[in-house]
Amino acid sequence: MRRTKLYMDTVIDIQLETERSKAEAETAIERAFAAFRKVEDACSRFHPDSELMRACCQIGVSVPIGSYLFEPLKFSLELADWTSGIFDPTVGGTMEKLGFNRRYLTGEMADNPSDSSVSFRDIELDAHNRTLLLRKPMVIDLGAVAKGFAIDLAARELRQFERFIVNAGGDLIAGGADERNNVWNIGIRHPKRRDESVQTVNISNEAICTSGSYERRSAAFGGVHHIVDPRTT
Amino acid sequence: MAKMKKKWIVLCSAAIGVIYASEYVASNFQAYLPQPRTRVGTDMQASGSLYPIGPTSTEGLLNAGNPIPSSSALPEKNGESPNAAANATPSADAPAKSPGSVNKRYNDGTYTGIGSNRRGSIQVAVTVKRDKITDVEISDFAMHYSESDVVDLPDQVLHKQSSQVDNVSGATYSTQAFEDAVADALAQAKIG
Repeated sequence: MRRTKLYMDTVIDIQLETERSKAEAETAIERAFAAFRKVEDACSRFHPDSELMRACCQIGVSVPIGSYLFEPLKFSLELADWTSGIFDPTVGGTMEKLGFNRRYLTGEMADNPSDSSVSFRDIELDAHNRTLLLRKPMVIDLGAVAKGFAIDLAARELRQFERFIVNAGGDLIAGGADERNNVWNIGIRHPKRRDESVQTVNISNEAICTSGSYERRSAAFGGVHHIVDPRTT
Repeated sequence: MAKMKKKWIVLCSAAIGVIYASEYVASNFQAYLPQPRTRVGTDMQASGSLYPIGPTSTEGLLNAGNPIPSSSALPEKNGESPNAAANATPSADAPAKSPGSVNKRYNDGTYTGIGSNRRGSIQVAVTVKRDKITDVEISDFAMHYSESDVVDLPDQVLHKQSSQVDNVSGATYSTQAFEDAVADALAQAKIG
């Protein structure tokens, strides 16, 4: 069984192979898709009514936030801390200015205030009260972590099945094994030839993610892509 | 690096665990409530009443006339029991008519749209509820990515994806190729 839907401005493709009933499989697949919708509703910086963007309207105030926002935010702050800010979720304002401000399908443009000196150190997460406090105006970009979070949640809905793949626009998790080799054979896309792989990897009950500058280029500026170095922008 | 690895796995597992612990509680409550409105554990109701957003200044295709944050997609999943398919709870949504429905622009329902680009044709099923796109399913994915966009790379040892691999990992591609098909579906949903 294979179903494909659009979330998070990408194509979510779920493949499921099972001896269980079709109805059971369909229900689980819907729940797996729902995980993407929930994470998107919480974490999108493109939807003005996402939980994230509503929270970003409040500066200097502790705002209670739900787990679908709190958890990926916490993870991204750990990454920011570990990399001393090379990875920084406050890059959202920069991304908007670089032309990554268009809401997919509807075409609405985002334009939100962001302090030019903002860094992840201006975000305070209170783990006890589950609140978020922003010290400066900023746009938080959870683009690097939210999809992986949703993939994990989706996989959890599907783990009862013998074999499945959740592929979220190129980041995927492969559960179980296929009938041939006991593994899933995953190609890594060639950066310039879309239908070819530069390498293949065998995985089983593992995830694999790929990024690159060959997708998500800026519509506003030629040559600008979606991976930026905070030290030079 | 190797030492950090374990930490990230623990962090990820903990994050997923938090969600499931809270939803387990929520779904147990829902089992006893005919019209589930409590969202115990996910805490998301806390955000429902926060800072109303003014109408967006941009010419959005959707939502532009709908300034009430409570009409966002957030409440919908509230009424969705864990065993229900996405579209199976129309009754739960019915009473939640927002003031925005005065200038409602789209009829609720699921609409099929067809689009095409140089790679082939695409058919999508777009579900609209209360002027929001709640679901876009690719019902016919006949796009072929067989043409190389750029042919200036030297030939390497390349594997044809279709024949030799089960799936492909790559940089996240956008939904741009689907926008025509979605627009086609929305045109049918449009009121007047």
